[in-house]
This record gives sequence, structure tokens and C-alpha cells, in this order.
Amino acid sequence: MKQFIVLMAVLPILLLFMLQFTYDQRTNQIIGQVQAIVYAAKEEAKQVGCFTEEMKGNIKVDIGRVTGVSPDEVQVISDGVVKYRYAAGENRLIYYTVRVPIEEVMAGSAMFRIDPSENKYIYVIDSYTASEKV
Amino acid sequence: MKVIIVFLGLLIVNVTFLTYQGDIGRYVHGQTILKATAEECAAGAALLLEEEAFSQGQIVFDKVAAQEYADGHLAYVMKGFDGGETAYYECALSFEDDECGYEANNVDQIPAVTATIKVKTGDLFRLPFFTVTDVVRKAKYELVY
Repeated sequence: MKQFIVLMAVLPILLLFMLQFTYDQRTNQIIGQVQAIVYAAKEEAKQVGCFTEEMKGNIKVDIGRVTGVSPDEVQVISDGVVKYRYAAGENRLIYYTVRVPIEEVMAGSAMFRIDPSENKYIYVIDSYTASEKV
Repeated sequence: MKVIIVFLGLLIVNVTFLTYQGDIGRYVHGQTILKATAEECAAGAALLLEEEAFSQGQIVFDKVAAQEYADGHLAYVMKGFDGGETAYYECALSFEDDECGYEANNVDQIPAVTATIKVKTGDLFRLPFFTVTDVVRKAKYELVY
């Protein structure tokens, strides 16, 4: 009986670890998918010369589709100005920032009394690429 | 006492796995970012040509401008790189063009830029028996006309 009581005490702690493994796995998969989607969009932007509104919308929808994050919460920031390959200096660079909120990072938030607004972080890709548009 | 020892054993094993999983995830994502950065360094550098040589029908990369672009891009990316204590990073470019010549396996003589990024960081893994402090990623961009 004594051992059963001890088991009941430690079981939730050990189960939390199991849960955290899956949470981490999911978080890693989301980040991997976001990187792949943004990479593909960046390659397209190089050819077009900028991130068009349509491309920004596609990024949001694609990220929402594969990660479960609401597209409205995904931010894609880039000016829509077309950059050209033979422009001088900075004028040939396409800057872009993608921000994706990743929620439920830590398992057992209710048990540890972590507010859902604090149990998340924003994954940011902030970079630039050289335009290839002639 | 026996139960506590077993519990502590399981706890240590779980913490170890969890730490490893977190670190390996961060390591893989860091590698992906650096690979994309190497590709961008090579691609951006390959667009910078010597105009005078180009006017004479030759493809010669502007090495100085290319290196400036690669260094600038790498520095920009490293600002947000989650690789622990970053001590040192560099991007080395090698060129295949009408001035530098071509590799033997480049039989079609396609101008190309190869970017090699080397990053030395603090230990990327928190576990004491696993140490990684170097990341090297390489990418080649071929300029096809």
C-alpha cells in the first residue's frame, strides 16, 4: 500500500516528462515546417523581386495548414517594392520577417500554474535575400 | 528507500532525454539556418560580376564585393542565431570563373561560387558527455546563362 501511494505521487511527475517529449517534438516539427515554407517563398521572391501580397497570404495559409497555427496570427513583414538585380547596394536586397506564435511549449501548464499567454513564444525568421529579377 | 532510488534514476534518465531532445532540435534548426545562409551568401555573391570583363564576354566575379556581401549577410543572420555563446564565425568564398579557372569536374565550365560557413560557438549541448562547438555548412551556386 505504501508503495502504491508513492507511485501515485511520482506518476504525474513522470508522465509530465512523456508529455513534454511530444510537445517538444511538435514544436520542432512546426519550426522545421516554417523554415521550409519561408525558404520556398524566399526563392520565389528572388525571382519576382519582392514578397507580393499574394505570396504573403500563401505563406500564412501554408504555415496555418501544416502547423495548426491560425493564419491570422502569422505575421509576414516585407515591403512590396520590387527590387532589381542590377540595382546598387541595398536597393537589390529584399528584407523579410516572418513571426509565428508557437503555443503550449511546456507541458503541465495548469499544474505549474503557467498562464497560456506566458506558455508560448514567437519564432522569428528575419533575413534578406538578393533579388534576381532583371 | 528503494522506491526513491528508482524514482531518482527515472528522473535523471528523463531529464537527460529531455535535455538532449531540446539541444538536438536547436542544433538541427541552427544547421538548417546556416545552410540557407550559405546558399544565400553564394547566390548573392554570384550576382556580382566584373562589368568590364562581362562587356568583353567573360564571366568574372567581383571578389571584393562578393566577400562583402557574404560577410554582411552572415553577420545579419548571426545576430539572431540561437547557438549559445557565439565566439567566432566566418564565410569563405571560392570562385570558379574565367579568371580563377574551373574545377576538373566542372566540364561544362559553369561559373560558380562556393560558400563555406564556419561557426565556432560555446558547447551547443548541455549534457556533459556530449560536446559540439563547431558547425560547418557549405553551398554552391552555379550561374547558368
